[in-house]
Amino acid sequence: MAVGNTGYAQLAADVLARAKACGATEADIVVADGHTFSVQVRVGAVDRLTKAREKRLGLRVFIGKRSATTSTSDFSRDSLDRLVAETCTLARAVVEDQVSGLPEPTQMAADCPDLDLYDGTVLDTETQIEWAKRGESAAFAADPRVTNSEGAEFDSSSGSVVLANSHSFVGSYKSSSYSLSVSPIATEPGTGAMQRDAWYEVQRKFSRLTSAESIGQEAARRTVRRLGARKVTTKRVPVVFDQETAGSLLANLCSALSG
Amino acid sequence: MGDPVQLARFGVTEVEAQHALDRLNVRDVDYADLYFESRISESVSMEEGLVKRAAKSISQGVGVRATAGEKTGFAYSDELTKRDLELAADTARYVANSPKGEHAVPVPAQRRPTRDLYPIEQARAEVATADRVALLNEIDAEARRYDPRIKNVMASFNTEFKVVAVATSEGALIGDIQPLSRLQITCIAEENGNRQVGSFGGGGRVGFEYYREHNRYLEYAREAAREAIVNLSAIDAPAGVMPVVLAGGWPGILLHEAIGHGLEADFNRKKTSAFSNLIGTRVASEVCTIVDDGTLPFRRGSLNMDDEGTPTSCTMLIEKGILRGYLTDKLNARLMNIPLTGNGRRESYQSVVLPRMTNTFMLAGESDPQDIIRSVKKGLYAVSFGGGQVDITNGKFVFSASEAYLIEDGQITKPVKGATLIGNGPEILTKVSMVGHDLKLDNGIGTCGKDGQSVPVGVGLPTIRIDEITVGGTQS
Repeated sequence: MAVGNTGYAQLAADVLARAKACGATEADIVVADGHTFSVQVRVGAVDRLTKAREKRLGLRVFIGKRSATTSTSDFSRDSLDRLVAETCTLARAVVEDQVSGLPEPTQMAADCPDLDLYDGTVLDTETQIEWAKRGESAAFAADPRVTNSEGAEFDSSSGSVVLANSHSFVGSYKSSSYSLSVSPIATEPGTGAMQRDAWYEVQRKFSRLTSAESIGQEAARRTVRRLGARKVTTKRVPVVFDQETAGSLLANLCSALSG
Repeated sequence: MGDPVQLARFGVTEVEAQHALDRLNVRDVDYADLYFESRISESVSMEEGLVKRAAKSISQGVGVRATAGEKTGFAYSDELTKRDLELAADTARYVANSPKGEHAVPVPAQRRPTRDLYPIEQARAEVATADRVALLNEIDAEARRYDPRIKNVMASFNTEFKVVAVATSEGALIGDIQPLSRLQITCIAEENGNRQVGSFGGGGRVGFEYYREHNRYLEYAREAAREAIVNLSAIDAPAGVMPVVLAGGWPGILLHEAIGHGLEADFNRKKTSAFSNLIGTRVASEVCTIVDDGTLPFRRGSLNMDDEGTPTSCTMLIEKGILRGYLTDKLNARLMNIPLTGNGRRESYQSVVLPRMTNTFMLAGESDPQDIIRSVKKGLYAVSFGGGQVDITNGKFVFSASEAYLIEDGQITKPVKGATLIGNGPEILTKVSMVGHDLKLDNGIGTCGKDGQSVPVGVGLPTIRIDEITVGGTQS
């Protein structure tokens, strides 16, 4: 149990008890909260700066083989009591799904591996602005044909997740994310035709981000290579999928498999 | 119209709102606002004849924003205490750290939108989940009755009840109640190992009773089933450059993607749109007149006010082929010194305002739709589209047709499957040669994505002829 989540573990236990009292035979609950920071720089100046703290609770109840799910950002006692009652009412209104239900109690994880997903590094606002500015200016510097920009964005976020269910399972983890993306626009000198592309990197640990410069340079390379695009006639040819695009083939396969 | 939306609904007083706005009142801030939102979304869905999913989601929060020149400072919170408002205001002010402003922020004066495009009396009424379950069950039966080859029916019914209030540094306090619902049906037809899909749906800023009126829900079910059955006999799509006739209604999504986004002011201010600097010049053939109209009653894309409290309007985008205007929010209208059109929209209190479309459509022309079909020797007639996307910088778009037919010697002949339309937004508009007198708005199913934010929109189109467009298919 991570430090700081004990409050949510208690909240989860209270909501589960309440669900049982409303007639739920099984239930599980997930509580997530986090901080997010994002800065977008465009042509060397801050365009948008966003900061927030947010939280959310998701509840799933089973009444026999019937179930319903709900979620809320309002953690007040009254509101949660109402939500539990409504979730049970919803579950009673739908039909049975024979394959629904929680996994068996014996299938609950006994010890969870530490995947090292969390980095406690707190960056000040200026450092994050600086990363975005350096990424964008590297793209401009990489090629004179990079003439404009959709901006560069640096994001950082961290949060925690608590999952609890009516088998007395309680688990939690913390995670973080640091990312930089750069979206340059290149212009073809002869025609004035514009092209854009982007490059980005996302890491769980801040120290693993390569460098703002290399991300900006790769963004420029990808954008400039689009210049001079021409139409091809209709034909049957072999197609090479870039690493970025190849993944989308798997995504389509996965969505087909999951029905 | 009911009572105006009060801040008390969010547990906040007018004085607290003014206090937060006052913290944003520094010399370099041009404009600031607080956006309060509460939203309840509900859905029930059915697959394989069983309504086994029901869900409900509640969210409430405030977005606090300050703009200074081109900069935006933004913070949001799902807690609405005085302290949270102050913290958010201090974050939003970060982009414009400067001495206190000279003029005091007025206490917001309560106003209500001048329009009432979606009276909410009925939408407010709770509909029992059992009634929604019954509706979906009847849909399943109707689709299967349409044709025994319909082997599976999936249907979902979603509703949203959103209450918003905007308090601005200009002293306005204005709120709106925005109901929204949508019924969506997908049928799978199967015959001799051939499986095809058909979809249909509809909705708007309407209540549950809308779907029972005139048995609309049954009509939707039959339409979805019909499309799936048509596709069973569809042949492979042709490939190459050919004339394409677009049917009225939902195919207007092509206008939305290929032209509409390029006319949103932010892309033009940043000179990243293919339409930058083209106001007053010819960008389309003479028969094309395109507007964005947020003032149509009950429409999915309509709003009494946008998310900055500006009344929505009908904006002329392209008039007889000449580019007339862009869609604006307050920031872009101010920076570009062009009219404010009431198109500042956001997905939720957690998102920043962007200029977005409402209901975008081409006005009716003079041609008879039958004559338009008859004018094509060999081409494609596209009736409905699935997905599509556009790159607004170079104007390129791709759309896949979910229902389309061959046109041969002026006649609609065989259905085709897997047809993709590939083109360039600005270029396609110059190739529209005929516009039908049969303008049709879509049925109320559109959701538009931009910068990761989804908002409901409407589209519309009369039957039109595009002289040449690249069709991606497998039959050369």
